[in-house]
Amino acid sequence: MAGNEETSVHILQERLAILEEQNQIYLQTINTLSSELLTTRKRTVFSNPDVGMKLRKIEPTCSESPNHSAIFQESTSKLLPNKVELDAAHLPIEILVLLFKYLRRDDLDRCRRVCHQWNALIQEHSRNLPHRQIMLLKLIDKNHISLEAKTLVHKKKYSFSIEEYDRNNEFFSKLKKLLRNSMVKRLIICNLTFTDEFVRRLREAFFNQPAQINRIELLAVNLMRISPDVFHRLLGQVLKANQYFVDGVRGASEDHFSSALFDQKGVKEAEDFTVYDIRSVDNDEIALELGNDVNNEFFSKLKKLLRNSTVKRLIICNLTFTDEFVRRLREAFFNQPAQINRIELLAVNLMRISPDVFHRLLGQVLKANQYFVDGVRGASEDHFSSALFDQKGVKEAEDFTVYDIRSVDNDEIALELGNDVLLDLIFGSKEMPERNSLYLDSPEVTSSFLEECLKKFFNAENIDRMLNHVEFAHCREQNVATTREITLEYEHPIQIEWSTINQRTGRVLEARISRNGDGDNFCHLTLNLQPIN
Amino acid sequence: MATESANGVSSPELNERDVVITTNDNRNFTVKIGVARVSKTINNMIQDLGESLDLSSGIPLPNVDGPIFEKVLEWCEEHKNAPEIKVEQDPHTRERKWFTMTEWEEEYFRKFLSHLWDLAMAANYLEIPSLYYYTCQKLAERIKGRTPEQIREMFGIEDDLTEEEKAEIRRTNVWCTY
Repeated sequence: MAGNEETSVHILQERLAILEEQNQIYLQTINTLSSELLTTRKRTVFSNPDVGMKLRKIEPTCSESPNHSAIFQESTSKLLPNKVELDAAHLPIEILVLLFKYLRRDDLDRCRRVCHQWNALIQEHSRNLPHRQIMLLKLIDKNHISLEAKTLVHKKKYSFSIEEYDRNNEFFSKLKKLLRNSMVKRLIICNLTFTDEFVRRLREAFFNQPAQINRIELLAVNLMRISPDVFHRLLGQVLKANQYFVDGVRGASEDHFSSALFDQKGVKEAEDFTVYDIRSVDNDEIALELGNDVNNEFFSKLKKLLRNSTVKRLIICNLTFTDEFVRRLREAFFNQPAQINRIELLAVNLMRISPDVFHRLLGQVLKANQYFVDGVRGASEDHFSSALFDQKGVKEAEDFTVYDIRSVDNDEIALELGNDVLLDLIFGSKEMPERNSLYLDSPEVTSSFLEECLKKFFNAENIDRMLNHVEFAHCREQNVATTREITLEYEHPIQIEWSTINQRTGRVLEARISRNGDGDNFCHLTLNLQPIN
Repeated sequence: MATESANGVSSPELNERDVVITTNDNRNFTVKIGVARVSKTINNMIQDLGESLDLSSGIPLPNVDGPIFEKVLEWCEEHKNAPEIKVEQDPHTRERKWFTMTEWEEEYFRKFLSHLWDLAMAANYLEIPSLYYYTCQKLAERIKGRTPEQIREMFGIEDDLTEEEKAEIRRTNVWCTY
């Protein structure tokens, strides 16, 4: 043993000596090379980090120093491992791999048969090359079990007798082969009886699919022999898809379609989930179990109405909101293809909903372009705090109108939006899309708000995102001093108007307060940004 | 004025100046720097050399020959102000999105159809992404829809697949239609 070790140490020392000697030659070479050549050499190395490039026809660069060039050539090739001399049959790898990426998988199939190099390259790089797109994959049990796959150019069909299928091996090994380097757009499973074992093998075959299936249809499948748990995983994980369509299920139990099914990531995130006609072993109809309160039917109807639909205008009137109501509303409106245009909440009661959930209801669940809220009861100040305006949906809305908010004790609730928040809303910002108007009832502004606003407008650098029209009802009485920035247009016991000109753009902002003459301390404030003339 | 300073490498005046580039067959090309630096490799050299860049004695290109460099220069001249190309792929199939070529580019490749491999190699070495990717796409275009026999004939490739390899391809790829 000791003798062996000695020999190997000896061999290593010998190798080291050779390497050092070579190193010495290279150093000498480097020292004697002219500066141009040095740069060239350095560049040659750096420009080929992947080594894919094959150098070709390297000839002396400087005819006066052929020796240097010869050494240069050698050292360059040492620094570029994998260097293959280019001949007709061996094309540069990097170029080949890149051009393969521009081909479809059936072209790549043909390319594999061109020559040894191409075949090896395509197999080696397969995962990064284009996949075959199977437009339709069908697993059908009709007298015998058949497996059918269609791409845009090819169609493959295999049939298996029940005995062959029960052995399973052949069916699934064919399926695996079909799926290799392929992705499935649409999958139909028809008439099959699912078992836990079937799902296990299906998972094996679909494992590592490069992209999610677009649409899965389960037609007339039988769930008698599959456990609910495995069935849920089949839909939610093994065959994750954008759209699910399940019709004519037999042998189901209520557990198969319990709410646990909707806890599955794939199902929860699906853009479409349609289930029709589910029956038990005894042919009893089975309903989708999604909770058990009275609201069930209401929300299932709502869901059905919303399926594949978009809502332009939504009015919710006289309802008492709860956190649970919002949760279910979110479920129903989840994945709505487009944003609602206008939402009106009329005489709704917020007594039983937390401010936080209410903010999310408006800002996320029912995101809209225009909000109109009137006659709210049971509100607290927190419901209409500035946190509401932190919500993306509310911040970005083109129109937000709130009137007449009252607490449980019928007290008026002021919008907890101070001067700063409101000025920001009025002047807009880059992050916000263009919004047109804002109507608020009882905003919490100081008596100098209007003056601040007019002065800010006078000096503003950028008013591109400014609201065109703002109205505050029940606004605190405003004190505006006429200065060089602010012009008093006219004054009347029930109405006063001011204007100011933006110094940068020359645009005009008109501000008006109207009093109702009741002698209370509130006014109605209107701001109008004059259009560019 | 024998040695020109190449400091301030991004200045527009510098782009108008000439640089001599020597290919591996000892041919000298006098090129405007603004055109030459379409090649990132040459651009890097100009920047690295900085002060010591001797514009008249030039830059050697040991890996490119004259006839090909001439063709490459044509491309550089046309693309000296072109924006960086954007490489995109289909998120599902991973297929590269094909570039739309201009009339000029189509004509360029028609003219040099028999030199696509040389152009791709030169573009790779010289780091000219537009020429490199476009040439690879052109090569793919030529391969698309053709049989293995036609591809071999077109590129002068020898069929060196063994019978075992052919059987293996048939056996492992159910989509193979032969």
